[in-house]
Amino acid sequence: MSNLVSMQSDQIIIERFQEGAEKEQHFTELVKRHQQKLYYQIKRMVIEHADADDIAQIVWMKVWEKLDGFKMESEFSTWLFRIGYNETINFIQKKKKLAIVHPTESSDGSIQEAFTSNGPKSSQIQIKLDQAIMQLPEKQRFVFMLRYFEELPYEKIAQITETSIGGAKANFHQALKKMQEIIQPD
Amino acid sequence: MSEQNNISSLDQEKKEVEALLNQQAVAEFEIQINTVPENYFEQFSENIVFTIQKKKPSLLIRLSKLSIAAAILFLVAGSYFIVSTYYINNASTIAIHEIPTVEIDSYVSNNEWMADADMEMEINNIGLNLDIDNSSKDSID
Repeated sequence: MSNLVSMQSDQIIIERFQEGAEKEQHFTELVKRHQQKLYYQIKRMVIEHADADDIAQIVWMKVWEKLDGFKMESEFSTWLFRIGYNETINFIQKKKKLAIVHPTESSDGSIQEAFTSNGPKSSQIQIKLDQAIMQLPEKQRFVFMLRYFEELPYEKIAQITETSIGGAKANFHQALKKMQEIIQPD
Repeated sequence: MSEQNNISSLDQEKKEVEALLNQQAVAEFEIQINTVPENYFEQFSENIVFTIQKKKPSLLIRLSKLSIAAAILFLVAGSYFIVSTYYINNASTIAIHEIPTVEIDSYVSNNEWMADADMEMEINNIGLNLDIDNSSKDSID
């Protein structure tokens, strides 16, 4: 029910945005409502704050550019997370390519480092978990985070990652299996 | 119903994850994720709107772009109009009485064979038409 109210409210804000008056004000309202969930989901993928901030900015810029054409066929949050998913995957892939061209400047290792450098308090278990998460393919990692931390239904995860519901479920269980293999190799 | 199914399957999956992953490690991971610079979210929306406003061309720039486009269009159309008017005004028109007879004679003699050919073609056409007319008459008869 609360979700429905939230969706209606988003819809009203978007309609007002699309009408053209006080666009910035309506857009700010949308940002305030959804920025945290989006940012945390991105950060779970890239770990570094600076990277998550960059991606979040790109995502919101795209939302600004495309919101006039948003037809409200899906919830705004689903659409937003889909843009977030695409931009995060693009970012990670660009970083990987950069790591091949300039191995010392930027690499997936920086993410790895961010995972494992949690300070002196980091336990071996923590490091192992971080590494396990890190070793998951991007899509599986994204699906795992959406399901476990955001507790989204598979229907929504499927829409965000542009896959089938079965595909999303398979991604989650493959992620779990892979982490099991890394954490408990025997 | 589907929401209930989702909750029960989510609970089941959470149990599977919790059985596999150390909960303290998961909690530490979330703390790491949730740690952001001070006032980050308070400033984020302002920053993003500021960036958008910076990127968005101002009304003055948009108007000046329009005026440049209009000026170019005006220049092109204007020059076309001026050039075409110039050619029309300066086109050499000579009245037939101004042409010397010698020139007319020479033109006719030079083009006489063309005039003959035209005439012959005309005659042939008429002849053909006559033939057709006659044949149609025959068929009626």
